[in-house]
Amino acid sequence: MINMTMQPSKEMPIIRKIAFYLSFIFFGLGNIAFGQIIKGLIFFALQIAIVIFFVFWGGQHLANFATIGTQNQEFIEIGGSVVTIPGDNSVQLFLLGVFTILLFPAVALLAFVSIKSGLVAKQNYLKEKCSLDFKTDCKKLIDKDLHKTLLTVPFLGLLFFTIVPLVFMILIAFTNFDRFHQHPELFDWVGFSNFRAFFNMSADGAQIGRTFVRVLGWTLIWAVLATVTCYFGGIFLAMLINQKGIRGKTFFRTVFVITIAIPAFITLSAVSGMMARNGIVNILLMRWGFISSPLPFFSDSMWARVSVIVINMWIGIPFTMLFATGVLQNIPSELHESAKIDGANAWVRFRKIVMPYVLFITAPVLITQFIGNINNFNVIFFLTGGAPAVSGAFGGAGSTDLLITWLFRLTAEHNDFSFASVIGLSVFLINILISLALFKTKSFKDDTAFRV
Amino acid sequence: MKKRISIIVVAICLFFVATITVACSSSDDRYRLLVWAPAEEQEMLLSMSESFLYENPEFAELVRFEFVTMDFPNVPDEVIRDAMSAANIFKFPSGAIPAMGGNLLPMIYQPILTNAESRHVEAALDALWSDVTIGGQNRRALVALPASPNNFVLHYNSDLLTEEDVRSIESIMAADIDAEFNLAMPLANAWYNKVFFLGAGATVTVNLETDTLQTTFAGEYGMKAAEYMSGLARHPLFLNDDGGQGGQEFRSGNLGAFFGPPISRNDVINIPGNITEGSVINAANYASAPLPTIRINSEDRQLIDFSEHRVYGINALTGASRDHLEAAQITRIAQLFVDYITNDINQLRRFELTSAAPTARTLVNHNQTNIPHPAIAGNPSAGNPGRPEIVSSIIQAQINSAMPMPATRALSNFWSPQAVFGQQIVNNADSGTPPAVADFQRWLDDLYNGITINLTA
Repeated sequence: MINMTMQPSKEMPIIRKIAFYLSFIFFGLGNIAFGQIIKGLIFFALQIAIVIFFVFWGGQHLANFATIGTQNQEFIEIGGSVVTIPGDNSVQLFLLGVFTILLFPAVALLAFVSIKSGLVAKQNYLKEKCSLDFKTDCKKLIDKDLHKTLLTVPFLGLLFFTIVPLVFMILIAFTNFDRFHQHPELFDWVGFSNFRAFFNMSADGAQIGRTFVRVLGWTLIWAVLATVTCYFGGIFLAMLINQKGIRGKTFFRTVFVITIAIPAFITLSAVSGMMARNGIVNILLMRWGFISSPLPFFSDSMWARVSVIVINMWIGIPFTMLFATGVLQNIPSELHESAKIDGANAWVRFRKIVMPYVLFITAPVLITQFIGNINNFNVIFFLTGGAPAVSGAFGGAGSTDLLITWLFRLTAEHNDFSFASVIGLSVFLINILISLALFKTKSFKDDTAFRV
Repeated sequence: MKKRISIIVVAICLFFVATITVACSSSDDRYRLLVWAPAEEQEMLLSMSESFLYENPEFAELVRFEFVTMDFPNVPDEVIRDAMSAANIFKFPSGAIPAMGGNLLPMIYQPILTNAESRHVEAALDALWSDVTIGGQNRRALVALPASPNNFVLHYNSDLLTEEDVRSIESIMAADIDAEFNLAMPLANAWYNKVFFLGAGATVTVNLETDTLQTTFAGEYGMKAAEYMSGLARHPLFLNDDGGQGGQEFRSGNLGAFFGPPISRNDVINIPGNITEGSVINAANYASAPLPTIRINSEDRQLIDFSEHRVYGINALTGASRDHLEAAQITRIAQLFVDYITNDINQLRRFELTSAAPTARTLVNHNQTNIPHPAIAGNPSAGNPGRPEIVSSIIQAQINSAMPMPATRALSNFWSPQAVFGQQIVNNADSGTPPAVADFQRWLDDLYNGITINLTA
């Protein structure tokens, strides 16, 4: 639909030129100058709203963000009763500050969109000597610009539910928002002191550092062992079931898939009870005379660590078995036949054909599993809950606690949010580094590059 | 036409939504006093609130009560995490008072203070006084009112063990009874195993300068406690009760005695239709006793617990959303309600329902709730020691000899290392490794470092 009220003219009037350049300051003026009145007014109204927000609230939010609260809670007496005058709420002020800071890129985005829109209106005016009316613009949103319409809600969701909490979490790492600074106490900026505490290994006050190094070490050991055992166990199982001459292949595959069908937390909770000190496993072993006292499956450090790795195989191997079965069935039979003719035995064929092929195809899955195991909350939480506890460990980090379960413990049980935030950042950093390193493998660069 | 119909339909829908919203929101503008309490007290508290408002009809125009179930040990964390969403009145362990700090409303209303001082035994109020700044002046105020002690006792089967047997752990273990185990206790649970250290003579106190804990647990007395616990863990007739197995074995007649809170009595006595149905324990053979003695260095030493109480407190933000005069009225009603539910009559009701020992002087000294146990008063004619009033008297006797719980927020550093130490003793016993003083000392040093850690800076 073309707005025919605007008369075509060869030269652009000076007033429109000025209006266009002023749209860099007053959003929407460019659109208004070239006939898109409603659109221009919307941009301008948004700008006015933002200015009003910053003048009346935003400035205060930013000032409060700098201090995170100065007014402490007070009590006053009225008629023999105590009444509380609430002080500042550091968390609230912090959140409002983060929100206000994130408005700056939003304002920049609005400026960019409004200027670009004015430019398009100007170009359209020079080309067509007329302007698109608001209705036509709106119609474009369900036609040519449908992607913008569809992406608006996910983008806003991403902004409010991912970016705001992420920025909040990162910034919390630079405060002392811990168990001793919960409301009504105020918390404050502490710079990098939380990070220093995590790397402080000196004799004095090294509990946080020592605990961090221990938990980080175990997290990496766990991630490697859990990934390797499940990966090779799954491939081995898939090969075993895939062997010629094995009957009831579908039955065996189904049996193992049942472990996936049952929610992991049910299996893990049941196993946890069975292997407890007074659980059925120990009772039966003692009754049958194999042992004289209970085995400390989850109460001794080393036992507990071995136990969780072994039990995790029960949950993890069937996953690998499933995709390995598909990969094995796709290995060209000619490769095996030629190798046989050349005199290669089963071990050589496995080493030279099967493993390179499976590794090449499943490298992305392997990386996903490794990163997944670094953050494998369920297995540890439902099996041991991080136990056995370690004396003097910061935040109650137990022997089998991973960084992710320790983070949960620090927030849910100890209210040490600032330290938890540092751990969250560490996990994020580790995952990024591992991903970047592994994404350089051939599997990601060229998926047709496999050569035996 | 279609457009008009659509508009009318949308308008009608909006009208209904608006009507329902307004109807729901404007039904009651009285201030809601939300109360968090354990499940077993819900009905009783509802009834108490009705009586309270009946006796004070003017309060009914200003406030209404709502009750939500919340286990009392979880309350401090919930309040600290989000005081604005927390209840106005809640039950919690008094040991958490230092950690809860400014979240508790100070009570300075004179009738409440007068009542509290005259009503409750001194030991119950000791930890509840706090120095607070009110209107710029330092004042001494109560931050909670006590409902009952928070301690555990020895439950035993009087068909298997005698009153003489339960006086000491040695005599319990030496008794020749027709059961698989003589005694059960969760040795890796800090709430229980601390009694060996305190009983042996070790102490935990507060370093006021640093607001941290200081302890002698790693010293000579700690070593004695460690050796005693190790010996107990290795005894074939001792059951480490780490999964509630003790109660189960006790119900089946397979265990002579176990440690537990007074309410455990209700979990073991055969009650038709309850999970305890089929239990061999009944009102006739159930019995309870105070914490026994242990023999250390040829000397009988009494096991000692911390003195802690289950108390009711008020959220400091109660009424804060209203103007000051109205807020003062609301906090006064809240204080009077807490005073009401902890008064003599209501403590007696709570005692009858849950066996929770009272703190009110009249009840502590009253025959109905406090018939001295033979083991305490040396009076063998006191009757069946399994009756709840006996449990109450036992608790009171223990409170009198208990060690004050350290009043510091650093107390949170105590529980985990203490539990770890117990677990190390249990693992060591299970592994069959001979007890070694060097191992004990290493674990005690870890325990010391864990307890005295300074994280408050």
